[in-house]
Amino acid sequence: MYDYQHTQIALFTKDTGISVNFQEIPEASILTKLQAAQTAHDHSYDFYEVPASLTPQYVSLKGAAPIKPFLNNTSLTPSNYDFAGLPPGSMTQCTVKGTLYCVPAFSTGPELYYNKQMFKAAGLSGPPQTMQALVADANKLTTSNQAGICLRGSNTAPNSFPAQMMLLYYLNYQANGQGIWLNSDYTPRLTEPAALQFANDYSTLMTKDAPKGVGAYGYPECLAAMSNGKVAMWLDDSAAASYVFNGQGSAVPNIGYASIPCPPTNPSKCQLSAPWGMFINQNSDAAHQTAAYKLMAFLSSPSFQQGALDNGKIPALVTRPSVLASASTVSGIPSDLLTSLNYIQTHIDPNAIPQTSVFNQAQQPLNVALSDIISGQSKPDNAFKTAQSQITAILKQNGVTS
Amino acid sequence: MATYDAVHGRLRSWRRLTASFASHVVLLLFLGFVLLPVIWVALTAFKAPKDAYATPPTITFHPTLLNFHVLFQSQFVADLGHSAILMVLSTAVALLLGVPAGYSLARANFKGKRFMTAWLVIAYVTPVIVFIIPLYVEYLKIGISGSYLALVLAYEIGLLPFTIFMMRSYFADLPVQLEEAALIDGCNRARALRLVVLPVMWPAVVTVGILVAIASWGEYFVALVLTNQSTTTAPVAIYTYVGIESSNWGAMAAGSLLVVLPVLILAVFIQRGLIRGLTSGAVK
Amino acid sequence: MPSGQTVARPGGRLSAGRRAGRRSRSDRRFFVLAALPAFVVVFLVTIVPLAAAFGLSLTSYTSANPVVKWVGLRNYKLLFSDPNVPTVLIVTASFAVAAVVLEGVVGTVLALLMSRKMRGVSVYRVLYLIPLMVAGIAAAVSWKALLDTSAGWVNSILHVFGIPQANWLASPTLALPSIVIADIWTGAPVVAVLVLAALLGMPEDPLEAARIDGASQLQVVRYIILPAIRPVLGFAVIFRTVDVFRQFGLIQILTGGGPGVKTTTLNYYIYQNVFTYGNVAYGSTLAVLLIVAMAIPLGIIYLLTRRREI
Repeated sequence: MYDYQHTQIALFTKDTGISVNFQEIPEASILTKLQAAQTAHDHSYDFYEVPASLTPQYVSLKGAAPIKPFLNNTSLTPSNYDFAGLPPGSMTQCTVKGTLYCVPAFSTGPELYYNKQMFKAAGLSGPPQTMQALVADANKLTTSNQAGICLRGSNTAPNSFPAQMMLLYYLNYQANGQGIWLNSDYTPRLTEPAALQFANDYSTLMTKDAPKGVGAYGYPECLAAMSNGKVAMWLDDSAAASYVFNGQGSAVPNIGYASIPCPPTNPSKCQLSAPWGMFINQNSDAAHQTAAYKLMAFLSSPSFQQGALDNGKIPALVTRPSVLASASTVSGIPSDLLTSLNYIQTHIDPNAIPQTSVFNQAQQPLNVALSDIISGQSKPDNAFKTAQSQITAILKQNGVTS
Repeated sequence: MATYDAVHGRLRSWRRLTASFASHVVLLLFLGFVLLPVIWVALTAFKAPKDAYATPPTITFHPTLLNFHVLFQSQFVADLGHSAILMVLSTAVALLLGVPAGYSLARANFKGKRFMTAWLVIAYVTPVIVFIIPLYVEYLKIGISGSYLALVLAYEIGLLPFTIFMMRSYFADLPVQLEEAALIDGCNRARALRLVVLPVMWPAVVTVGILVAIASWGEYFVALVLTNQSTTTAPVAIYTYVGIESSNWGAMAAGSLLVVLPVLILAVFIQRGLIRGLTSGAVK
Repeated sequence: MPSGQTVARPGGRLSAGRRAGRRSRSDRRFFVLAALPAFVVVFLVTIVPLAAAFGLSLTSYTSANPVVKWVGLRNYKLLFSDPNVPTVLIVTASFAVAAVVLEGVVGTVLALLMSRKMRGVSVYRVLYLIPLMVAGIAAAVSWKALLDTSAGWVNSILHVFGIPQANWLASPTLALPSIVIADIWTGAPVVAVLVLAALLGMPEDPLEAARIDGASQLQVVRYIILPAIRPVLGFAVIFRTVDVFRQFGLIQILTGGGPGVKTTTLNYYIYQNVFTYGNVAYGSTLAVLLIVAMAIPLGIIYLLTRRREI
């Protein structure tokens, strides 16, 4: 994905004359590096990409510049940029107190990767249409040669990411809630019956129907397992799709792509989207900020995204529903994937991540609870109850709740 | 009596044989343990992505130079150069400043010595995480952020105390007679150190220098935070290939191989010197 | 040369000091000047961060709220109510004890074996240097790959021998031992090299005398060799203890502190607080705790194994 961006940036330089110093930082360490840089008000990076959920943190470090002033400047923003074409639902994570600080760099959402051959062999006609069906199917699909499902299990992955994707299907949607599993007053919802039901289903899936050692699995491990025919289903980020269908594993030709339709408890906003955002460094001087903005506009422009779809075959770089909808068939990209991506785009939960920079830390007890469930250290109900009280304490300690 | 001695002698040599055999077994087992990651790196560096991720892992595969291509297309060779420059600078500073300091701490007793020692211990023991952000801020203010100077200073927080304490231990084991003779002959301390002590301690200095060089060659965390694009070091570059979304173990292994290889080749040559150097410190 | 200046007298250095009393002032000036540059460099670079760490631990500074507001000892009180702290301390202590003891024992045994005059012993001596040379990050990633449950070589090898394969990095009981094993890989050779050097430098006569007197190999080791290498062993153990407390790469790459918090050492917990959560003040408090906590084992080891000191 970033390799494609890198090559296209050469075109950007040709067009605008702005030379871009592209630095790739180890993905696992970019947050470390940027945290230090931002705390020190470093201005050597004019443009950077980090998870959009961290926007509140970088805003309070005064390291992110508001986008609107640049947007409103007609000399900088060409008319064909079509800002409205970027779905507002995907911008909420970039918005703090009504001000926009970033633009999503790619589109993400829950994607069910499934092995059509294994489904047929188990007598299943198609991918599950509800979470309950998923749990039942995983059981049927687990044999001595394959596991029914793979979900990221490691703390660092983090395991709470796909878990929250699923939790959104269990809990009923609160428009004024703080994210998926916090009430509007920041009390956690992990002990609601629906949440506990999820915990128990998760326990069944991860202890009986997942590969051995799934507790240490991150993204690459599940990707490898899926591509090599070791698991029948994999629920994870749609942004990975190009790694799947471009991969070389033995099972790749049999892989299908599906979205699980939204449940009655949340009929239109059940897709968790947590993209990385493109930020402009507020510590840089005006000229550099302007240049950074131009790069941002380039990377989110309709033409760039169309090129990413047609030539680069990377649907994840398409954040504009109009671009995605314009191509029901793109050679080289599986058509069921495009259908599923469209579904994600039109059912995004605009309110998935709470607007507090303490969220990262507050998530930690949830990671631990999931880990404990996977390893059998705790029963699901107890694990979630412990997480509930620990999260409450953390939010209180940090002044989010009183 | 003759028969008793003969039997006893045979028993003795039999016991020595089994002891020797047992030694080899133990040493070989641990050697296998030591070589396991090395072999993994060496093999994976030549595996195509398909083979690198095969579950269960394959011993036979088609070797490919693909990973090295990927590395050379990126900035990796330049990063190796940065690592080398940083290693030379750090080692030079550590030895130039640390050897005299080690000598001083071994021989002298002056006011403030305890404070110095205590401070050096605390600097060595404190995890570098505590230092890194304030250092970053300071460097930005002074304007040396990302430069070799900034990196060397940060490295020396750990390298200097190590050098000083190791050299102190060696100097402490060196009998004073040598310097005493020189002093009686009319040298002052400085000349005694330079002309008499150092030549004898040379293997120890080289040993410590090698250990310091290796440590700075492989440093990761400080390099990650404090380098900029023109000073990125090889260990940081290797880890670029281990992402959250996708990992390129082949490229990472190839990079590791390139990072480790020069040191390994060096090891063959310096092995004897290293042992001798460490030995010289134990002169009674 | 006047008599009385024989070798290896315990009071050798002290008498040197007494004898050189006349030249003490220029001597002292030299020694201070020799030590000063190194100390000044370290001092200047570390004084601000250390002061900042101490100072910040008394404030409520976080990345989200980067304001220096005095809160007194509140963060220190938080150490007692944080449910993670007891686990983190236990993990740190277990890791330290297991790693250092095993490295000390294994390293010494290896050194003893390698000090024998056997054929091919120099091959071992070279190859055992390898872990010293390998960059920490490369070692960490290699072990992560080796210990992978399905694609890892360790489990494949166990499979060949019919031993049940284990869930190394994800199991709450095996995760910390996995990290200990990876640390031993680096640490035991360090101890072995340092001890081997001392063994090779030992004078032969006492050993020969003991053997002629009929002492068994074990007795020779126990009563002659071990006491002689005690200072070197102590130094090696101190060195390894510090490195074990500072261990970061292995934990970040192998387990990320998990499963749960089962492999989160104090050092890693500090990293999480400062970099992942932005709790700079609390992280600084933990750092102070770490410095204090390290004084205990270091002090004990030092007292047990010190050589004659000024």
